[in-house]
Amino acid sequence: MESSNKKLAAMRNKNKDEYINTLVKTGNSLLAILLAFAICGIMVVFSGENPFSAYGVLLKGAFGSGSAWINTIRYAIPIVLLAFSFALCDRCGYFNISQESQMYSSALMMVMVSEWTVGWPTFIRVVLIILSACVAGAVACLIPAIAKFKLGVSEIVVGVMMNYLMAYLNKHMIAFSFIAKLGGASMMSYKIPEHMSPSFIFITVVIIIAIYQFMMRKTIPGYRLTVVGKNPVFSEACGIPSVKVMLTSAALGGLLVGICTVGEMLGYYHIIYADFAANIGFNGMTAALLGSGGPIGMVLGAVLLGALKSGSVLLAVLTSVPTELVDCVQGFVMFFATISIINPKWFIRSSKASKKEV
Amino acid sequence: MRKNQNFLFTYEKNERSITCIDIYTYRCISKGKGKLKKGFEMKPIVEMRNIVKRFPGVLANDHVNFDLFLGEAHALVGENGAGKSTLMKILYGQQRPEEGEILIDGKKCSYDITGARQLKIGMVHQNFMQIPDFSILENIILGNTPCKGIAIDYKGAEKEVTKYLKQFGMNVSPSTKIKNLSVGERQKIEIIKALFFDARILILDEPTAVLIPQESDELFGIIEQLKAEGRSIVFISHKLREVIKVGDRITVMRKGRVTNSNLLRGNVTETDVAQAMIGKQNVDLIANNDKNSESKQTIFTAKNLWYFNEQGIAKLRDMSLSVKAGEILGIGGVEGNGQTELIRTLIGLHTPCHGEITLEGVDLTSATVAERRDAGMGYVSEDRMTEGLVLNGTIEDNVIAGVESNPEFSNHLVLKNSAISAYCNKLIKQYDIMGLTPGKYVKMLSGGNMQKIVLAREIERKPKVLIAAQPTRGLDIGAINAVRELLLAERDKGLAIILISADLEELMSLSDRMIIMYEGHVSGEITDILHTTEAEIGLLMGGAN
Repeated sequence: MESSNKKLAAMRNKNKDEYINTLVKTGNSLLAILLAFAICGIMVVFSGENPFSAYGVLLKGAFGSGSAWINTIRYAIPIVLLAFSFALCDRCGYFNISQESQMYSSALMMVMVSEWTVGWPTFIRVVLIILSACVAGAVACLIPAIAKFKLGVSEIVVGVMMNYLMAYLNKHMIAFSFIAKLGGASMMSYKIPEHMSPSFIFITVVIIIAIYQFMMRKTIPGYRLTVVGKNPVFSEACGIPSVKVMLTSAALGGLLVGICTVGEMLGYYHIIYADFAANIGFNGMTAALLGSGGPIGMVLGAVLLGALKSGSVLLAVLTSVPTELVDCVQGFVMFFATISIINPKWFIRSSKASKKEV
Repeated sequence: MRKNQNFLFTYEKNERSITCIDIYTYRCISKGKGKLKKGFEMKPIVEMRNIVKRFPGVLANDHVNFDLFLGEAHALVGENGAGKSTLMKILYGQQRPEEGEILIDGKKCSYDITGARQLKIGMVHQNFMQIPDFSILENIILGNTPCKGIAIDYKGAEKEVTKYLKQFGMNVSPSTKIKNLSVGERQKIEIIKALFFDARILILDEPTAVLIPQESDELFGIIEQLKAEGRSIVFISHKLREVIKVGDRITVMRKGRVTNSNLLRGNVTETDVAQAMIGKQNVDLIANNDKNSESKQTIFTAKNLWYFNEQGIAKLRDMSLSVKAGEILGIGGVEGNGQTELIRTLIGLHTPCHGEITLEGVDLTSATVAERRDAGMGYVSEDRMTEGLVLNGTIEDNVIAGVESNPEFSNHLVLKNSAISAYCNKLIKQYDIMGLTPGKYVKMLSGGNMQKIVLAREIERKPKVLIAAQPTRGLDIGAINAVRELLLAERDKGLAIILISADLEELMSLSDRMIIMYEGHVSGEITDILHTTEAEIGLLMGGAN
């Protein structure tokens, strides 16, 4: 027991800088959240409400009751998947900003496959729908990735364009194609009749996270992804084909977005309507930034964003604060999380300085 | 000039002891226009006292004292990581000392780089601080732009720059783009940059690392010129021969401390300096004393390689070479004559547009890097920090790269972590890699230990041909010897080694046979290295046949 404690203490000393780094990252995320709420609180004051009571309502709406919890988790689940997709791509230096377009393409593909396979056995149909969603997500993610890694075009430009492109294609399809259900009050597609139970989706997501963690730490593809992400030139020289690995990571990222869409479509929406995925891609990014790529952090970040979303319903009912407050908080969280206010260097230096005094 | 004579005059008239003379006075004295009074003791223009500087985990400078006199070349020697560059960065204002003081002309100063320029301290960095797409003139006036009103005074600047170019024997126009210059020329431009703001203290950080012998000699000539002008030079190096040649005074640093200062020119030998540097008796570099490559079998050949870079410039022009098993083939030449492209083409990172590469009769011309490595090629990159290692990775990450799917380390998909760490422990012992603790990133290691990891990875793959590019660059003597020993031992076991090095001494002492590259092709082959002089090789490096 004692020896293991000593070992632990030794490990701590050795990796002190890394501990500080982790602490600073956590501190940065917390500070970002705090600042976002503080600034939005001022905005609430200007709109004539008490920010504390508004936030209280938000909290109650998110965690106040059993159904509130379920709602929060329901909103957090897609964000978790998107965050993991973003982190996976980010590992290989690919900024997956086009998650929205991947969601649109998977959803479109799902409805199309569902329409093509009317009358088929349910099981085969569901499998086909899920597979097509995954493939569509991966392909949509690969387009900007190929542009980046093969042609050297910024993936952000292509990605943002892809988002618009797919959003408009989506609108076109639900208005003028064989999946468009006409005669309704608003544009929408035909319904996918199959349903997936939320608890099944929840368990699937937990399994996916476990697989992701295992893959990253213990397997050959995980090793390759890590090494290529850390140093593509090195891996190339060692015989690991960097570009291939990078494209694979992009495809896997798209696949995760596809799975996320499957959950959303089969578990909740069942139809496509215009702009159903608008801005959702940024939620995943925010969660990934908040968690700085770590699994626990990303899940917590996703829960926070999910809580904001589910809490906003009660906010609209009980107060006169507009629900846009939630988007505002989210925007500020992202803003402050990106600039990472605390610099780990301050602490590493001062800890060395304190050593000197001892 | 008048002002200077006035100064001298006052000096002679007052007959007071002046503790500090200025640069003009010094020039007059050195030209014989005046004399220092007897018993007059010159005070140093720079005095660094008790400098302490810490970096995370290292004490870079531990109460270091350093001084510099007018018109002197002060050589600062030490192994890599001895703290000499840190000390000079402190003098140049790039870094601040944590303790200690700097006295310039007897006055205590605290300054940053801008302040250093005002104090007329200049530094020539190891990697030149130049913009390749700018002209010579633009690079020189960068950061120190002479102005006429609000416009840049190009004419005046050009005049002055031309003067310096002439003084340094450079036959180029100031409007030439930097990227069209050779490394030696670029270094001179860097020196002119310092002279342009009239630097009286000039710090040269390992200036000869990139030069051919002839260019180095030229540089030493320039140093003499600058000294005669009354400028003071700090010459950082770890090449002992140069240090003895250049330094009026030599200060040796080791592990952040000065181990020997005030070694004066004339009464030191290379051994003295070397001993002070590494603190050991045995300092001889290991050499290949058994140069014999006849009667061995050729196993690797590259024929008629042509390669064009992205700008469409032919970097390899009909380049051919062959290596025998158990032979070290040295490839010499001034850097930038296609060596980098050659090794990258050989290992498969570049695709040649023409030519043929074969290993033991197997054609590898269109094979990928992984295929070539599997066929028996090893590659020690010249750029250890980016291509050779993943710095933010552990030793495990580094040594299994490329062999991670080997059944020894994984079963198809899942890595055998315990087998991998056992393998790493074996390597750490076998290759004497120091300073590693579990989970530690290799970026915290010294250059020598980093290189040992690279070599361990490559040699453990049991290659038939090893491309070793600059294997000892930036290493200290101890590590250089370890690397050389390793290479020679592997050669004796029958490994064919292609050795590329900018260090001519290393090439000559290790290679069994040498070829010299000039502008992408072989300008000469040397089979009898023992009876060839550096000057002859220097000619080949310059392209003469």
